Amino acid sequence: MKHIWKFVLIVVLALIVLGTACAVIGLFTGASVERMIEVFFGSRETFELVIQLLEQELASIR
Amino acid sequence: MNRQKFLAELSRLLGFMSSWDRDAEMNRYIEMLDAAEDEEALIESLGTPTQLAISVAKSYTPTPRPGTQPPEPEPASEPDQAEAPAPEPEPAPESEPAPPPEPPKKRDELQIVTDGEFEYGMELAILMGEPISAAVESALNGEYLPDPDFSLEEILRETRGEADGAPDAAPAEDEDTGTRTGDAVPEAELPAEAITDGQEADQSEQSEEAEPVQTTSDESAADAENAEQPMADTEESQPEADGPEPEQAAPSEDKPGELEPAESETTSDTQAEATSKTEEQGPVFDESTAPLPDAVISTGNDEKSEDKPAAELVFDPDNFAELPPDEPIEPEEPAEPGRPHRALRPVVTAVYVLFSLIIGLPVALLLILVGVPVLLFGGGIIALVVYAASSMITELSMFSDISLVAGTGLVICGVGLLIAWFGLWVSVELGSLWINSVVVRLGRAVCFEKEADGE
Repeated sequence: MKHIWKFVLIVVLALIVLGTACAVIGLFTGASVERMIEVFFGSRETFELVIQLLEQELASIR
Repeated sequence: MNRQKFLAELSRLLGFMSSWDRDAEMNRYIEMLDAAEDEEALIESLGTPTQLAISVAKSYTPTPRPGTQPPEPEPASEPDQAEAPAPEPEPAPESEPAPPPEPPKKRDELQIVTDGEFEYGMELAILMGEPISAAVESALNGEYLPDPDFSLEEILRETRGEADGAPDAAPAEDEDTGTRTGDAVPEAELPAEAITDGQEADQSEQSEEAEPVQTTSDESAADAENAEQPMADTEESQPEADGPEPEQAAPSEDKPGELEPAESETTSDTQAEATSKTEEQGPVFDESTAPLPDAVISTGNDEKSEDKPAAELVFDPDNFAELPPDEPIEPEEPAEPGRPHRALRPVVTAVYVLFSLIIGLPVALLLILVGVPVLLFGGGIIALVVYAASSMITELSMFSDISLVAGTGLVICGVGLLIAWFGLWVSVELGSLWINSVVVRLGRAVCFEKEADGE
């Protein structure tokens, strides 16, 4: 189990480093964040809705 | 080989001779070459300089230095002195007081180191712990020369001051020095002459042959030096050139105590002895068949090594008879099992299995389900990333947008993977913990009889 943990952590670390590098490259080359939100959440409204739901959940927890 | 090369090589090889003898010898060959019509033919007929130097060395009898008074001993009595053992050295003939001796020349000015001597010197210097560069220099300078009457072991012992022979050599030299200081020839012209004293003194201790008459007058300074450095005697006791060196090594194996002809060249006292020894040496030296000095050393070591273990390795059965008889080895008792064997209680076991299935299995499922939402959350994140990647391919066309979305997706995917793995790990750990630590342990305690019942 410890070995699996090491493997998972290494893979996660690699993904984060690679993804961060790609994202930074994209931002420096003029990528649009709005377009990225549309890709992940379908539209701007869906994204705002998700954000509101999360804020409510955090507020209920507190 | 031309004339210059021939003469230069011959002069170098005749370094063991005294300067006046060498000059005379060289002048003789120069005159021969001058008188010859065809120099090359004459050189070829003379043979190689080495062969020529060997033949000269065999017939060489040193002459006193021009202008000095030859020693007084009677030539007629010399052969007797040489053959008969003379335990005590004869007193030196009275003569004029010797002037202060000149310091002996350096060895490398007079000594020629042959290949065999070089190899021997290298081995000995390395055995003495010298670094390679120093060993090469020492071997080239002739500091370690093979002595047919000494084995390598003895030389090492002497050098380290452990052998008995080394301290003995010094007093012998002191005595010699005392008897010789008043001799006629004033100065130690050649270290080779002085060196032979050390050689002869060492031989006088070891060999059966009597110490030769050593009334040389030109040895006082070198003797004093030799008395201080016994090892130097053994080292420098081979002052001869290339030729005589292997020749002396070969016969000395059979006659270890016999004097070498070139060593007896110091004074006119020993001329007759040298001549007689030279005649006894037999055939002329042959370079191709003569053994190298290394062979002499190895032979000496072999003889020593054969003798010593033979004396030590003597089997004495009495030593073994006192040993107690072997006791029979008792077989070890079988190791006790860590857990005593206990009898299974079938009825209790059946009831426990039933209750464990009814109670334990749902609890295990519930514990496993604790981690499932987390696992699903992580999986959902990964699924979202996959969906985003698919829509990214269809909707985006700019490299910057693709790069940003892909990078963000990778980071989110990594986080989702970590969350999913954490959920999976929680499920597995909780399930295994419940089953192993609770269900199995409790069943072991319940289903088997107590320890007192079984044992």
